[in-house]
Amino acid sequence: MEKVVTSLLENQCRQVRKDILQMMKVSGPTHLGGSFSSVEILVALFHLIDYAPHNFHARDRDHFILSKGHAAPAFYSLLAGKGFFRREDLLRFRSTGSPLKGHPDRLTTPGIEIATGSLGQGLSVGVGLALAGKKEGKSFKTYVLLGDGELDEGQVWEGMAAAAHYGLQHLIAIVDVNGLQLDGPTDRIMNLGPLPEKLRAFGWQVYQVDGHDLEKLVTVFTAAARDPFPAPKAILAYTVKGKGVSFLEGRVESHSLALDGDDFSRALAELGGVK
Amino acid sequence: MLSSPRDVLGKVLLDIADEDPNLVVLTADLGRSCRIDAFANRFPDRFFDVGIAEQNLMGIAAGFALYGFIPVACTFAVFTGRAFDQIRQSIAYSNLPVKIVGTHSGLSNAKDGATHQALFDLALFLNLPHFTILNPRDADDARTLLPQTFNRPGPAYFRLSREELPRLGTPPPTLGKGQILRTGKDVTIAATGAMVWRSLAAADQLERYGIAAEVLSYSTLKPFDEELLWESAQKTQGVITVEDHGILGGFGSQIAFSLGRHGLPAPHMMGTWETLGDTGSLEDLYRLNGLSVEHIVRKVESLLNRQRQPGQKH
Repeated sequence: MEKVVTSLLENQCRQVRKDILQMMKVSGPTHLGGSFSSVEILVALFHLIDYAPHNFHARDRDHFILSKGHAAPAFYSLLAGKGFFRREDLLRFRSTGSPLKGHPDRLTTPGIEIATGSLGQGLSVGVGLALAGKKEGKSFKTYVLLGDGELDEGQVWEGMAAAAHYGLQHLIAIVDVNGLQLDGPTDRIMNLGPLPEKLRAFGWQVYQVDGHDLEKLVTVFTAAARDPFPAPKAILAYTVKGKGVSFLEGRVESHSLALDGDDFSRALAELGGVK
Repeated sequence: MLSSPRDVLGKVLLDIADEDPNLVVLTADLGRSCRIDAFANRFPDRFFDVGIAEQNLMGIAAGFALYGFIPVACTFAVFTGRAFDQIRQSIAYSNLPVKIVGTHSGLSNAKDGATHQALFDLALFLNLPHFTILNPRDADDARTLLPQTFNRPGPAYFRLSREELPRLGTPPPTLGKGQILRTGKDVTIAATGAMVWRSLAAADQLERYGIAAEVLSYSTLKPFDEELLWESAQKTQGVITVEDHGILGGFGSQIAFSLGRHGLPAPHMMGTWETLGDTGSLEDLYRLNGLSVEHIVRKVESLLNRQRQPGQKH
């Protein structure tokens, strides 16, 4: 990837994180940890895929489902950047009557494919989309972003089994492996590891990547999309919860919280200040 | 002549599939039980059996709907409860046109027992926005109503009994409308699904005792035809509701709510109470739960505070 593109995407990541902080400022305790861990994944993915207001109603475009719906703030910032709604709307996040709900809502927020938030449901919807595409002989991609804590939900594994059963080559699940869930480290709350082996045993092609390295993310997304093997693709993106603000990184408390006063200013300063 | 509403499902789907290429059918390993195997044989590329996984069934159906298909997801009525959060979030919240079919409703899966009986499904679906809800009274009713929902936007729930129900030969229903199947001035019996023929049979008996019962049939529970109910309730001495479902949150509750907001007295509600169901013969189960023809007759009599006086007209 050209240096200028990398630098552009890096700037975008900083902007998304700053947007998330501003959304938190107006709305109170927010899912900062899991939003920050997903930023590079989302920015790299949306740099590549065919997903914009002008073709949102076309059925054979690429599809994206944010199964970890609590990362909505990061996704909203991306959607505003893509022109799905005005950037000013971000500051109405979670206010009464706002189109930007606490978790994604298809009926009020332009650019949302389907409601998510109650965890574990997005992959099945992705299976349905990809199966519909396969039935029609189309090759659009369906991307689903899950959290690693979310994998505790049994429905995820029903979806994993079905995707392999139907040979859904164009379904790409990305797991944001930040290693922390609401109550603690994922390996202590419910140890599902080793994930690569488990996913391979379920019949998936597995890729692994540093989830904060934009160039590597772009490379792996491109490779997975082009992989002709007739099986679904899983990308395990290893991340740090709260990434981008030093005193949030790797802390279970970062799952949902509000920063005020000095903490807010420090966080913003670490991201390059208000701009 | 007897016929089960579930037995017409496959035929209806075949008819619609011929005209609408967007129809696809999904099930969670109950294709034969839901009587849709004929569809699977004729349209193998439009039929998806996702295995015994109801949550996944509802999510996959939502995905088909997002793409532009009209998916029909078939399982037993009782198992829709297992996937209720998926129905709530992945279907209702986004107002997707998934048509959910729940067969073996109420106590109709008598021999399989409580684990396979659906006595709370209406309580769940009635509270969801956007849904059209149908509970046909016989096979002909189901055959008329099911295709009408495909012309409506949004999700739908079809509640189909497995019971071999009498074919009533009543006028065909219109979606969204209740029907007066028998007029009478003394009492209103409002019934739905498999309880309609029992209510008509009870009205026959009551006539012999000089009581004129008006029988309202509700095959569409949502949208709900309130005017029909209010008119009848204002004319008679009381309303009795009859359903093969728990009375809290079901059809009776819906009628009570409607009468209440129109300033009319509460109905007398017949349905199941504090039970998950049981194993037995179908008629025994309806009798043990106070839902036989005889129970309806006695309920009307106690409401009107009259003793039986065979042959006596009033």
